[in-house]
Parts: sequence; C-alpha cells; structure tokens
Amino acid sequence: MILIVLPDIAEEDVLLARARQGDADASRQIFDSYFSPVYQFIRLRVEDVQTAEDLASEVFLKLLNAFRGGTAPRHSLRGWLFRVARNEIYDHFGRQKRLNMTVLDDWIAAPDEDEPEVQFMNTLDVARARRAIKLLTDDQQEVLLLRFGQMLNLQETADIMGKNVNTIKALQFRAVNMLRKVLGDMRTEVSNG
Amino acid sequence: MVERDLIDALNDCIDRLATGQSVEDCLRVYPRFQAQLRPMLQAGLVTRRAEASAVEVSGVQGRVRARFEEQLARPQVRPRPPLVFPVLRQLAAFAAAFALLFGVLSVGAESALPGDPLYGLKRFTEDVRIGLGGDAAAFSARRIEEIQLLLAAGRAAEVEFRGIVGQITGNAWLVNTLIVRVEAGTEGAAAVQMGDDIIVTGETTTAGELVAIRVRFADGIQRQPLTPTPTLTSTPSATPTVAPSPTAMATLTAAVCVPAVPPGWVIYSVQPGDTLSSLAASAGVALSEVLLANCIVDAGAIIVGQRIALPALPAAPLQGNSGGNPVGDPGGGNSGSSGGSGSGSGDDGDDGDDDDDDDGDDD
Repeated sequence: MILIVLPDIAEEDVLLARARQGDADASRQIFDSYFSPVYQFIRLRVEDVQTAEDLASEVFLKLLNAFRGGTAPRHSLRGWLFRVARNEIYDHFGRQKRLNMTVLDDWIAAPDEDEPEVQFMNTLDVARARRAIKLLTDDQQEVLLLRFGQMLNLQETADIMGKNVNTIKALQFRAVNMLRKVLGDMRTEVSNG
Repeated sequence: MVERDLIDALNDCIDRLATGQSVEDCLRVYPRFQAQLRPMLQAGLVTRRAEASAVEVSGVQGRVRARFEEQLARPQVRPRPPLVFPVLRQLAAFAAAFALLFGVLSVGAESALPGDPLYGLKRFTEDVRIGLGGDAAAFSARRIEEIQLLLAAGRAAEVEFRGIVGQITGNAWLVNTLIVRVEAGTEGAAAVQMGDDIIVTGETTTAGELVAIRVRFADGIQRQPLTPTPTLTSTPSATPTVAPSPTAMATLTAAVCVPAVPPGWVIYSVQPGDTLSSLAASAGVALSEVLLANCIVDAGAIIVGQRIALPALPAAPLQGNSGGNPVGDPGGGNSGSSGGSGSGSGDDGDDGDDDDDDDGDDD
C-alpha cells in the first residue's frame, strides 16, 4: 500500500512559487513527491508499463512547461497533476469509452456468510485485482483509484472528475458494489475450477 | 432513507481509511451497517492491492526522472525573470511601509485620524482620489476591480489602469493594489520610481499574473526621483498590527491582492451613507481589518452596492433603510470531506449534504 503524506499546503505553495521562478531543485522535489501517486493512478488504468511510463512522463514534462509558461497552478498541485494525468489517459484511449457496464441499480444485500468473500478479497493477487477493476466503468475505476488508492478527499475527487460531491458519493457507492459483484463472480469462477 | 445513510456511512469510512483508521475502526462507528459496509470497504481496498510494486515504480521513476532532468537542463524557451512573491512577512511589512511611505509624503491631514493605524494609507488614497477627481476615482477603482476579477478568473486580456507605484521589489511592482510583473521588454519601465503616478498597459495571463507591456507617466512628464526614499525598516508608531491568517497568506501570494475573508464573515452590500469606518466600528473590528480582508486601499472610495465582507452585519440600520443586506455567506462552502463525526454512536454521516442531488454518474 502506498502511503501518501498529505501535502503541507503552505509548504507546497512555497515550492510551487519557487518552481515557477525556475528553481530546478523545487521542481525536482515536486517530481519526487508526486511521481509515485501519479504513476500508480495511470498504471491502474493502463495495462502496459511502457505506456504508463510515457504518460506519466508526459504529465511531468507538462508540469515543467507550465512552470516555464506561467500556467502552472499556484495551489492544489495534486489536483492539477491528477487532472492532467486523467487527460493523458483519455487522450491515449482516444476518448473511446470502453466496456461500459450498466449501473448496478439494485444493491444486493450482504449475504450472511460474507467471511469467505472478504477472505477472497484479502488474498487477491495483483493481476486478479487489476482484472477486476478493469471490468468497472471508467468513472467507477477512477473514483476508486482516487478515493481508496490515492486517498484524496471527496472535494478533490469531485474537482478532478468534474462532478459534484454528491455525485461522487453515489458513484463511489456504486463502484464498490460493482467491484464486489465482479469479485464475487471471479470467486465463483475460481472455486469452480 | 437507509440507502442514503449507507452511502454517507461508506463515504465517512473511506475518509477514515485515508486517515489511517482500519475497516474495523469504522465499522464500530456504524454498527447497524457493519454487515454491508465490511465487504464494500474490503472491495474498495482491493484497489490498493492492484497497485504496481515498489520495484516497478522506482524503476520507472528513475527513467522518467532522467527525461525530466533533460528537460530541466534545456534552455527555457521563454525566459521569465523571477517573480517576487511577497510572503506573509513582506505583506505585513508592505502594509506598514505603505502607510509610512505615503503618510510621510502627503501633506495636510484634514480628515485623517491620528493614531489610526491606517492614517498614512488613508492619506495616500485621498491624495490619489483628489488627484483623479471624484468620478475618476470611482472609475479607477472599478477598473482595478475588473482587473482583479480577470486575474482571479485566470482570463487573459489586455488591460490599462492608473496608479501610484507603491513598491518596487525586483521585477514586481505594486501599482495601486495590483502586483505587476515588469519584464526586460516593458517599455518605459526604467524611468519609474516608487511613488510615481503611472499608467500601465499590460495583459493578464491565464496564470493570474499581470504583466506590464508599457508604462508611462500619468502626467506625461518625467518625474524627479524621490529622495530620500524612506527605508522600509523604520517602523511608525502606528504600524498596523495586522497579522494575516495563514489563509490570507496563501491567498496573497497571488499576483494580486485577493480578498481574504476570515471564516464566519458575511457579505454586506454597501448602502447610501455608509462609510467603511462606521461599518467597521459597528461590527466591532478595526478599519484595517476590513480593508485587508477586502483588499480595499482607498477607504473613501467605496460605492453604493459594492459587496464587502464584514465580521457581522451592522447592528442597526445605518441609514434607516432595511439595514443589513446580506448577500451570502462566503464561508459556507462545504469542504465535502466529512469524517469528523466520531461519536461512536450508531449515528450515521452527518455532513449536512441534504439536498437530493445524488442521481450521480452523469457519464
């Protein structure tokens, strides 16, 4: 699990200011703090390591250009980076919507014997976990990556995804339930052979 | 409605997980939803299992860092001289220096309030107002306001405005209330001194900066340099003891004085007959605080209908009209992140999002 130290806002603003002035060390520091979360975010949406690397690289080169062109953010860099990363991903896929599963309208009540289910989730390997996540809609994947993976708060997530907080709340609810369903199907497959 | 409560509980638990709490910690807060929440949260956490390994990340990071370094080493396409970012201390110093500098320079003190922290500031602004004439002052104030809006909105536009150069720090000039970036190519910049009354032609950038293209003297005449320049280190006895909050500090690093409204203040629409000092007095705060929060330099240049932030609405109608004219609560935004309700009872998410807009995913 990737632990993200929540940015110290004032300190980050100072770093941003320095980077905008052309301070290379400040730019490096920003790169080092944010590379991992940005890469993880991209990597979970993009199957291929090389592609993920190129997209992540593009995000940080854009940041450098933004510092130089005077268009870099003054605050909430994290939101800016994830937004740019998201755009890169969309551009990469040519904005084609992939597998768009229907929304899980009726939420299924938890079965009493949820223990095996939870156990299955806890022992899932990376490849299977990825495969399961990829079966969700783009929005569902994103909301899970931002909220659970990157631990962004509701408002930040809403800003990055261009939706309001209530929409995000409902979306994350559907997303976990859909993932749960997908994992349930997977578990059945596994136990059936 | 159970589903709504569950949605809120899930949200709260996700926030709690982000702060390092465990799934079980949160389930204890929502005993009645335990059975439903547990698998949901575990499913969500699968996301973390899917993350790339540290080995993969560090390998990729090394390669991308090399590209990043390469780009860093590349000469800048458009060199930008360093901008001066007035941080908190500079800001406070500026407020004091501004008051001192122009308080000293101006003559006469008919309506000034000796001992008032903003004595000097007021004198300065009055001079500007007199110099410009009443309507011109209002016009000028509106022009500045428009530019502030452009900057706040990050809109690029060509602008022109007039003002006194209050401070020159490197290539950042304070003109009127605006911080202007002066570049090597800015026409006419070399002759300008602090205290000059100039007309700036420039452009606002999408990054919220104001860049000067050309400056010229308002009277068309080259001025004598001011001598001696008061040093900014000497402190007048009436130094404003304004201590901007951290929020104010963050906001004021921007290229323009962005109103930094303390939490809990309300927006009031200026009524005929109002003065800022009477409004401040009625609200029980120093005039300086009101000026700082609203980025107002000229205490006398407010106009009817102008929206200003105050700690409270005026206690009594100042002009016999309806009195307070609240426009809205600037501090009312919901940060969206709940997670504070750790009552331990079965109480579910109480973050106050009670509207019905949860139809969600506008995919």
